[in-house]
Amino acid sequence: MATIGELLDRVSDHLQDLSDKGWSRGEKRERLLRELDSMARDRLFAQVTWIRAVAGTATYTVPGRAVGLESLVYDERPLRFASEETLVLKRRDFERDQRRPRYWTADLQSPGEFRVVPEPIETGSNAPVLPPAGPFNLTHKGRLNFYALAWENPQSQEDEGQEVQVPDWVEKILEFRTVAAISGLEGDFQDLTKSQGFRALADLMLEGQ
Amino acid sequence: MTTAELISRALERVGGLSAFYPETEIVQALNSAQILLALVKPDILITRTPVPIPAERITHDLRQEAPRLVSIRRVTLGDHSGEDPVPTQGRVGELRRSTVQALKNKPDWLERRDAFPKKWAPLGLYWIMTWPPATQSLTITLVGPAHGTPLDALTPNASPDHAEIWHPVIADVGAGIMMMKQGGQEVEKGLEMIRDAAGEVARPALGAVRRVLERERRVA
Repeated sequence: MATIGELLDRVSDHLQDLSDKGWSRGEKRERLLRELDSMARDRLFAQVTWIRAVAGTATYTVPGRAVGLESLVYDERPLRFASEETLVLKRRDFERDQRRPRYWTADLQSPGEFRVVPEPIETGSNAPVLPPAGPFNLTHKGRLNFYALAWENPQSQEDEGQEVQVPDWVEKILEFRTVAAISGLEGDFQDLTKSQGFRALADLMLEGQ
Repeated sequence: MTTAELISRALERVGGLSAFYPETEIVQALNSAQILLALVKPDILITRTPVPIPAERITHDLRQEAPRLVSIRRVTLGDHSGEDPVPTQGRVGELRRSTVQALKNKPDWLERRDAFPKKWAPLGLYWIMTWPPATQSLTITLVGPAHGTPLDALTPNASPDHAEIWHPVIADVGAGIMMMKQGGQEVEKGLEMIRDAAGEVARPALGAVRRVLERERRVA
């Protein structure tokens, strides 16, 4: 895995802008991180994450840089996804229900938040279970937490010394997409042909996966 | 061909401008070519990577276990990386491919346990899921296309992992990528070089670039 700085050097090389005169280093870094966000929103990067369940608390935030939830597990059982409408049909005052959680919803919640219904009546263990382990083979309290299969942006730290948290071949797609994005920007150094060429190569590689 | 020979060939293809193309950049382009070829011509380098899976674990992050694997064709029980397969817990056999959605739709998808998983599903670009959760630790083998070990200018006698017949292709695709950095019409030439080396897979990319060039000519 290369560092963000090394990836930016390769992007600068493709752009023929090693001295950062055409576009500033900060601008290139921003574009690279934006492309990574864009790939994350396409649900390409999975992650298993642990969220502590608290008695009486119904709403939780997915830690890290999640863009969506695929599945939630509580007490070794999957919670079923339900829309707000379905929950209201089952019980009009579903927010007041307190039993073992059975459903989860992201409807009408803030981004990155989800709600479990009913809300848990026991607080789970505070000992974190690091991914990709869990959600099985744990103590009783350990099982009473939420284990989320989520889609995320894997890059939690963005300074240039940090390694890009994707395999080399995904880095290459990201590199080409960043070159395409920057060379397509309006301005004196715009090169639509280069932008189109690198974008087409990146798309070709992603389709081939 | 060695790394040094690949570098020479790639440089020759772009007109021998060694001042414009330093060696480190040529090696980068060759490594880019290896990755591009793994994705558009997946049959040229197939690897078999044994991966240990602990008991009760259903999701597996491949970034450390199989970082060069670009996609998965088969998942089998046991270690199939050598001449003869080595059983895991006395068993060899294929896991059937499924999808995460299909697995989640099973009413007992997390309650069920078995001595051996029966199915697998891709999860994004570098995770997989095996199902049902196995009650014991096992070894599975992931079979699929991979990109070659990255080349390095510091080891000029090393050769790519691919069969010899593909070495000139790596150099020519690398040269095409190098040429694209010049921009403008050189992008079209670079893509033509990639298409000539890697085949018609690059045609849509070439088509897209030609349309842009045509628009620019009309505007000019």
